[in-house]
Amino acid sequence: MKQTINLSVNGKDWPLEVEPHMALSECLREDLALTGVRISCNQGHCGACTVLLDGEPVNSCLTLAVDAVGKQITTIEGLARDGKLDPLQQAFIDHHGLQCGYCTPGMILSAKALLEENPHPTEPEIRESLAGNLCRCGSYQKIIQSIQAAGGETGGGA
Amino acid sequence: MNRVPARRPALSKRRRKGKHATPPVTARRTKAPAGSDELKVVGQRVPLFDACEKVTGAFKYASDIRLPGMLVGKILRSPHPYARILAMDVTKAQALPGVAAVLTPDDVPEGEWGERSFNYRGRVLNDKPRFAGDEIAAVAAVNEHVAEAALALIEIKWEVLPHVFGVMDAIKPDAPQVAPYGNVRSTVVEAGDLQKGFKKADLVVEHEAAMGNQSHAPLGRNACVVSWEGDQMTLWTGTQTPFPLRDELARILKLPQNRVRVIGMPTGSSNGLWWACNFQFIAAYLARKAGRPVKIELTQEEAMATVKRRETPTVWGKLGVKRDGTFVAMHVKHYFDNGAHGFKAYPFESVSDLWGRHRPAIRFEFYGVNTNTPNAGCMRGVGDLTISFCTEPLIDKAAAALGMDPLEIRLKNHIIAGDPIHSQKNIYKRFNVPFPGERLTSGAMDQCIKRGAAAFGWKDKWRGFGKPTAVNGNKVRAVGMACACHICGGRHLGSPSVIVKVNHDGSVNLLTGVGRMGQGVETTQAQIAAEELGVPLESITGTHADSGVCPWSPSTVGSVNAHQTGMVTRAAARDAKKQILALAGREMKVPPRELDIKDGWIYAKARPKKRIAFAEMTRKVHPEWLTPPYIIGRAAGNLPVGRIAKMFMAHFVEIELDVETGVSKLLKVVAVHDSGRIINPAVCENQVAGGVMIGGGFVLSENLVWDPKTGRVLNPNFADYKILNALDAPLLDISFAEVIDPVGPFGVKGIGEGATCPTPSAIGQAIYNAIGVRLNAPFTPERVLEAIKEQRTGGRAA
Repeated sequence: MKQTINLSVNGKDWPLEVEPHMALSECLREDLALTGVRISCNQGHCGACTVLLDGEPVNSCLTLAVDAVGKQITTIEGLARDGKLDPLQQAFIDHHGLQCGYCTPGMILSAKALLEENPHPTEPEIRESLAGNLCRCGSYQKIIQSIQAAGGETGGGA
Repeated sequence: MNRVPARRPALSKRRRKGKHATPPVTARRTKAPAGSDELKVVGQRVPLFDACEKVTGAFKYASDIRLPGMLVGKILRSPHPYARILAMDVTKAQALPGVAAVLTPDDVPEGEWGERSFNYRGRVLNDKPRFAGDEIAAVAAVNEHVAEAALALIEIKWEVLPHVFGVMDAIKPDAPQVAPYGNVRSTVVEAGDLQKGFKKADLVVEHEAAMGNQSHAPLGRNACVVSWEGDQMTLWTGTQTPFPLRDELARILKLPQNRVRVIGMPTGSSNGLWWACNFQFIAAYLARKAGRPVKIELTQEEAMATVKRRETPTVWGKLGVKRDGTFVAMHVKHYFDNGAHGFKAYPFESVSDLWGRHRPAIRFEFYGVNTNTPNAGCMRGVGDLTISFCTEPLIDKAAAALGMDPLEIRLKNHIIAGDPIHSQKNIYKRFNVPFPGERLTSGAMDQCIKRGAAAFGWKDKWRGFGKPTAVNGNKVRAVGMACACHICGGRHLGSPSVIVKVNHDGSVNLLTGVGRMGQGVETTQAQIAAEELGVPLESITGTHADSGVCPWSPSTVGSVNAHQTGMVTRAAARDAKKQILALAGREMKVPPRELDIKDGWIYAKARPKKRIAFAEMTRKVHPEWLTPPYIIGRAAGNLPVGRIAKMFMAHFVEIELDVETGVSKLLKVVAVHDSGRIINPAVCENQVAGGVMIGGGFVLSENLVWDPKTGRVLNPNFADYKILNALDAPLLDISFAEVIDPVGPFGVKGIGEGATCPTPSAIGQAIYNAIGVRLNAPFTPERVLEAIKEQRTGGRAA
């Protein structure tokens, strides 16, 4: 039986009717058309569906929509502010931290959580924070460089 | 004022800083171009055209497509590795509320469809499925849950047949025959007299190598959405081969090609997986029967266990060498598993020619073998990766026996520009066209080896064959190197065609039929067009892979686009340029041949200050048309006969192997590639990095496993099938040889496929140097520990 819930996504509240077993990933994609939430393995192995819950990266395929009630959900669509890209997004563009793009939203959101906590991470810390985000194109080197560059920028600007 | 709108606000800031800002149409302060031959756009590290969409999540894949009234399609798969359907009852499934259509083998043609590069041959639905997972029926329903419930209601009476899994078992004459046309297909690449060659040898060495089952293991779900309007079909799917898919759909559906519109979507990571695949054909028939749009979205399990995997190789080789290291004869037998529906007789086999500097006699035999296992076919680096996994250790064995080091023997034998290429003969044979003889356009294997060795510090790290570089307790450090070459497209793939539309405001649409799988083709083809046309890159946008809009292109396979499609893109841009210069000549009262275009300015070559902005020219009302001119540049064509380009590469690796746990870690890779002129270094570095990770993963951790009794794939997921992740990624040092290919556009060759080829052999050599035993891949901890144990107990010679 469907439940009526309110989800706070990218700073806006959305009244929704969802089945209690509906995954957050499916809810965001199907009900809110936030297709930047990518689904690949749907089992919590690949990290493509990563979103931030109160700033923490989670696999939205393993999170129930009803469990996200009362939390601030950030998807890749919510990262740019007032039409301006987040420094991480710009760094991924400038440093070619992507190829096919499928892992990119998850990578950027995992990196966002890292930089919020640790504005100047070392390379091993960056690698550790991305261990749950797979990139089959193998672009890790430039992904790491992108995050280092953004780390430098946000650190300098803050 | 800049009247050509900046394409993307997010990028415009960065691009303004660059050298190639769009010229102002009215302001006249900008300096006129110097008229030099220096390239303006090709060679620049410009961001991907679609990078902004990718980092904001706006980018769309096939799985993101939704149409009004769209149904969900699900596929029923065979539980048996080989069986015949005696009866299929779908009454209960059809009666289930919410089910719109049930598709059975009776609804699809008796005849088989065939993938253009022989990666699939079979019926759309099989009444005699050939592997556990083969497609036998499909349901279209209002949602996934109803569709799955309906599949469970289909009742089938089976006759289970004897099956065969192993390649060497399947080639036996009494083996179960997987397909009606026999299990084995073979071809030979040969030149010279093999017997005479081996007689000249002072030393003959042999090697046999086997590798595991690599899955493309795609990140990203592919989907196929089909909508029929009368007898006209539109199909959205992630595909590298939009036009060959369109052509085969039209053939089997008995429709004119213009009534089948394939809109090729970006694939996500494909690596050779998403071409023309059977689920797309099922979706087409299912939607027609249901009378509503249907979407089939494959799960990770389906993508890994049923679509395709890399051909599993067993390769034997024998090499005859003179005392000075000159190769005189090379004989290789390459067996590869085509799985249930592959139909290949040969993979790409450029490595057959790689060591031909001194014209050794060569005989490379290829045997493609069907088995009752998941479909097998092309995966990035196909053929040349698996061949070199045998020929590289073969060369090492000869070098070790002759007291040469691995660089010396390779530098002595690799081919150079002008050397004959025999591996093309098969292709001509296939098309019944006499072989014209082919010679190599350019080749800088020497640069790859020498530069790689210098960057790696090879001299300081190399201790000799079978010897580690350093031992620290349990940790053994060792180095290895290997070479390979690969094709840059090929005439047999077909002739690309390209359209360049110049709009009234001077902006440009580039139309090609290429597939988009993240290799950056949208950007690199635009770089070629911008360079030739003399306009800023920002003024170009692309539409690709839509068969209703774009001109025909070969499959985006075999690193075809940079070299082969690029040549045609350049020609189409040149055609547009010629038309614009004719108009400008009249306007400027200068003969067109005395004009050129650079940085968005049309100028007189002799007097660069006499000029008109490109966008101003395209806006001018044509005196006869009474509108501004509409320029359509176009080209179709193929590579020249008799000359063929190959890419070359050398990889140097350092590993750390723990002799207590058997775990090997890839620490560092130095990769030097000859891909001709590099269109976009950043794109190419990413391609090489990806190749290293795919090749490295293949020998270190990836192996698709099926149950030895049922044939069911046991690990079609990222938890049990381990691809390399951010913690496994080695330090990478990637660079490019300085080569300008005489055929490629601006001297460009290909890069993407070949990047996978040398890494496995280089790691193999490093493993040998670490433990003194040559192993088959994957080099799992179990296998490494077993080898160390055997060696310590003297059970196996080094």
